[in-house]
Amino acid sequence: MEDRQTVRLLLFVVEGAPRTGAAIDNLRRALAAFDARAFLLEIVNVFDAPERALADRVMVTPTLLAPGGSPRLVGDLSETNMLNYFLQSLA
Amino acid sequence: MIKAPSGIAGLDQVLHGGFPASRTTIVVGGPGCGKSVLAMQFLTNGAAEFDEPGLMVSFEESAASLKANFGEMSFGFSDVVDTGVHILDGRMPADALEAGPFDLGGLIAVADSLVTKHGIKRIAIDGIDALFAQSGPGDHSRREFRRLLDWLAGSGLTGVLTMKGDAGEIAGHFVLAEYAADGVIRLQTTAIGELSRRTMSVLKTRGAGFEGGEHPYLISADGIRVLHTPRRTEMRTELLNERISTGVARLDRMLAGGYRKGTTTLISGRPGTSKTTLGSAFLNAGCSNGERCLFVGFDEPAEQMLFDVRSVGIDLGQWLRSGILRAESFTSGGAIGDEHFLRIESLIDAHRPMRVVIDPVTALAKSGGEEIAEIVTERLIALMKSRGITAVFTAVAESHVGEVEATPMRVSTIADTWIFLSFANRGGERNRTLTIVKSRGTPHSKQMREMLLSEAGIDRANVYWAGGEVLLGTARLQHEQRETLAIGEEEERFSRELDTVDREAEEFTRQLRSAERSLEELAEHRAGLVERARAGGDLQERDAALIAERRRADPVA
Repeated sequence: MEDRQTVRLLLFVVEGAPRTGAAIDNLRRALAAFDARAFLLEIVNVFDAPERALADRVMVTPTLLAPGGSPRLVGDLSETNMLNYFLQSLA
Repeated sequence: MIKAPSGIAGLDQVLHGGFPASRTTIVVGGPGCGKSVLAMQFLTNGAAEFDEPGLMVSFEESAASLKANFGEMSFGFSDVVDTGVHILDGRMPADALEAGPFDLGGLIAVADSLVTKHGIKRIAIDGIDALFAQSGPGDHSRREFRRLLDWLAGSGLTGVLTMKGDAGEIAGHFVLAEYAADGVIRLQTTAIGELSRRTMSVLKTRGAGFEGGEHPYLISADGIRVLHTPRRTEMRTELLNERISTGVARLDRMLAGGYRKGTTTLISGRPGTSKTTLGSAFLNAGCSNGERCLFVGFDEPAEQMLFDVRSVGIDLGQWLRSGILRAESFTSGGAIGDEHFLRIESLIDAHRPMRVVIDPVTALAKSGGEEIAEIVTERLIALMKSRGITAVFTAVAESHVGEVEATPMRVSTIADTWIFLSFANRGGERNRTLTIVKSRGTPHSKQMREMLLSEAGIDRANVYWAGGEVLLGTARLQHEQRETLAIGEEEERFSRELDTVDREAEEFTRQLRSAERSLEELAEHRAGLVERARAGGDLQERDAALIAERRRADPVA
């Protein structure tokens, strides 16, 4: 039951890039409004796992997506309204 | 500067050897001008000819669509796709929403891993502007673009990066790219009447030379072909003293053995003066000798043009079937003259002929105007010379019979030999005539010749009228003597006929005078009779009766 309710999130970033920190901060803030068990976030450094970036067609960073879900968000997630709407639609 | 040859016909000459190796060259142009074709050909040739595997990063088309489209072309893409040329679909997924500024980290990470994995040496980044289409111009796009160029510079790859630029201008938000890249090539399309002309110009290649100016280019199934005009005509002079048969024995004699090998002959004349027939005879002679030949026609199906000459005993069908002769035909008004040139050059590269006939070269005037036609014809002549090809170009003369000097194009001045065909009306017959107006390096006959076409071919034509001087060897002399004899006989026959007519005229004149005299005598006699009737009374009645009788009057009651 619990597993089914938990939504996996993948955030593809370039480790150490300025937008990476901004995206992680924006996402953490937005997730705070949800139940702690609603989402499971994995952060992927594209340079460590380029084959995963290729498999998910991640050409720009940061990219936030839910495996098997649609749509995806690209950019540093500074558009908080868009981010909140995205998370609510998944929760 | 090390160069990475593109293997694209003409482009490497323009770029003095190829793209600068380990550097990035930007190719900018409007939609449909062949940026992707150029990029893919650069990669394909790199893999196939130079052992340099390539990566195509496409921002406009999916891998499947690229494979389908380029698979239909014939520059060898299908042979190397997925082995020598790899494709990365760089398009932003359709479901992506922009929630803030992004960078190209994903692309660079993925491309970088593929470069290592496949040992990539050449990369093409096609249509990157599409990635920034949503975000629009700004510092952000420019910075990311710069980041990509930096990665390329550090990677040691030879790169071609294409982007849209309407009216030849680079899109606003990439204006810096022009300064950041190592080389910039601009592709343009300009309208000339209803036709469009494609040209390529190199704006810069850092640290390397290139041919300036506009270079026309062609996109066909074979890929891109760039028109490169050599600074000077490379002439294969060693050929010049050889002669090859024109296919007409008499014409060979007039030209001291035939056309000079490696030269171009212009055959001009009004429609119906047998230009195609002479051209076909030339090809027939070549094919009979085992020489590869090429016929390029305009505005009529080539097979039909060649079939028509069967009526004079030239069967080119056998050579077409054996493959030694290739015949192609183009619609003159369908493309700009430059494209026709490039298609002909492409045919020559593929078929490698020793003899070429272009029939008629004047059709090029419908391919963007007289000026382009003249330039293209000059280029064609230079092309033939540089390949050592002996060529015959026909030209349709617009002028009237006898106005030999009024050829439609300047081509007559640059052709090595110029033969003028015309009609002459004599003795109620309309006969074809042939005049060699000029022939460089040949002591040619300057006489006008009558040329008769029969089922046995052109050669059976009788030459029986001459007005020039004898210039060539013994055979020529004997021939001239025969002609002189023929003239003598004809003159004799003429004077005989004239004498007969004159005699007849004299006879009639004599008869006329004799008749006039008889009339006069009769009138005198009548006047005498009337005089006598007035003088003699006794005789008056008889005279009256006589007169009445003469007048067939009714008897007096």
